[in-house]
Amino acid sequence: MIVIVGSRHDPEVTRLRDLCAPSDARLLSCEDLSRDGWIMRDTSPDSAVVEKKLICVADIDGIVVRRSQIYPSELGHIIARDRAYVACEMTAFLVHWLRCLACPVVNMPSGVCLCGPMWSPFAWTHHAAQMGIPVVKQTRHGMRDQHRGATTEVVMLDGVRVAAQEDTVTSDADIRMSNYTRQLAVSSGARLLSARFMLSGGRPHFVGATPVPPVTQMLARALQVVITQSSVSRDSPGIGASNQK
Amino acid sequence: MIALWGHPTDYPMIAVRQALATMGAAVLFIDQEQILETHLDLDVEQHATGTLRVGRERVALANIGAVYLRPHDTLSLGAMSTASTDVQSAAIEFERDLAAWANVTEAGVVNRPSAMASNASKPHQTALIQEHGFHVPKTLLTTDMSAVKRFWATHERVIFKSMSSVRSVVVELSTAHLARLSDLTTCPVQFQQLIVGTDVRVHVVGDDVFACTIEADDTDYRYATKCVIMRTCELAAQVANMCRQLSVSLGLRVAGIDLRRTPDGRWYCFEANPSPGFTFYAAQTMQPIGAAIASLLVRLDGAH
Repeated sequence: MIVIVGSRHDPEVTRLRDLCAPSDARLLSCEDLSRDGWIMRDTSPDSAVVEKKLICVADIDGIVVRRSQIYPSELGHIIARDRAYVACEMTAFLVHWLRCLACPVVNMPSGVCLCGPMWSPFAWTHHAAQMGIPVVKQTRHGMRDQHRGATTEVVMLDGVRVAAQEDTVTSDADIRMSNYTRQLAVSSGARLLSARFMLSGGRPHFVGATPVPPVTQMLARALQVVITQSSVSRDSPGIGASNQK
Repeated sequence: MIALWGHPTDYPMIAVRQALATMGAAVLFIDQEQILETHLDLDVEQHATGTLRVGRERVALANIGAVYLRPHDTLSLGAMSTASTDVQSAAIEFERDLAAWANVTEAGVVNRPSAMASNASKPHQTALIQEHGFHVPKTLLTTDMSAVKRFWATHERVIFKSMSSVRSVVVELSTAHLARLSDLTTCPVQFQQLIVGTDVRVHVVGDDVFACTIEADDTDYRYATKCVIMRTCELAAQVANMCRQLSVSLGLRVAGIDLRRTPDGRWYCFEANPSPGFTFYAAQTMQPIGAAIASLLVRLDGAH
């Protein structure tokens, strides 16, 4: 079973669940956190609730996180005055729960963000520049206008580029973008990262990055392969567990 | 120059400002009440550059060598709480970008917003704390009433408290709460084994460690209805070092660490607060924590 952590009102999330249906994909929504059955002792997740059904955490092959936090506005089933508090509590719980699972988690929480390094554009630019990657300067004012040129998006999952079928990774610029994205993913601790680049003088310049790339068939397929392979590896005696803790 | 970001009536901010004034340090105060009269120009490539204008004062970001930040929720402050959506959005955007600058600036920051994140999930922080040799209480996170009853039966005395950085009163579970256990299905709730012992609050400021014991009748001394007695104490060198190392590993130059020493000499750690309200303790103990933070900021500024 693949569990997708996200909002049932997010069309990208429901699309990913549909595309991963062959792997028994299910959606863990904030409504599931308001149901009887969650048990976690210290750093050991035990039972959980997914799509209103009680499950054993050991039955989860892998997790894909598609949300940065729980928002008060999502909690229509909670009385209004408690929503802000409950949203913080649910997010805090998921940060710990996701970090303690033995199965692969794409991505592991980073700081208070559930889906990995959802950094500000300033932080990403600074981080990339510190690594020697050419960047487009981020400015506070006029940010809307400064990236109007065409950009190329590179999606990397576990060090392998997730390419749309029509993409070819042959040019020097393509190879550079792949290498830069791989460096950024590793250094930020993100198994899944999408980076955008703008070509200037034939050279790619980093524009921004997100741990939540658009959902495509290729991405869904790649996620299922990564999770299935990790699951087989975990279940095979002597091969060694996945290093998700 | 040293930048301070917070509210003018916040006691820790007042203490640090006064100490810096006594030391004659050059200070730029970013007043949350005047946030709409404050302007930030920020460019980021390999370095963060730009200017910060507070009222009539204009400062190059490169000239700021140290920052102390203790911002409150801007939207709950004064006129901002009733301002238009556009005004509130502008304030939120300004503070978001100022926090982004605080995360990437080469100035010494007490503490970087990114480093404060571990406190937003206390169970996660507890796991990090345990790696530093402290004992931590057995914990249950659950929406399951029967699991709570089993946990209670096992540990005999149990407390419950918030998991997030939203402050809550620590309460001991009692039979009076049984009727409310059905509310658990709102969201997972954190229960912990109650640890009997003496509360010790430790403030780490750089290499300096200030410790005090706290005596109170209530489970949560912060909300004690009767007298709370705090006394300065000396920590064993090993425990003081564990506190320093914990702070460093969390990326915190200043931290308020909640410890409890059991009668058999074990040290439990509950939390490392990245933005400690140290004046609550210093008011009784007279420990010079505000002055220590001011000295740290002056040193960071000098090293910039």
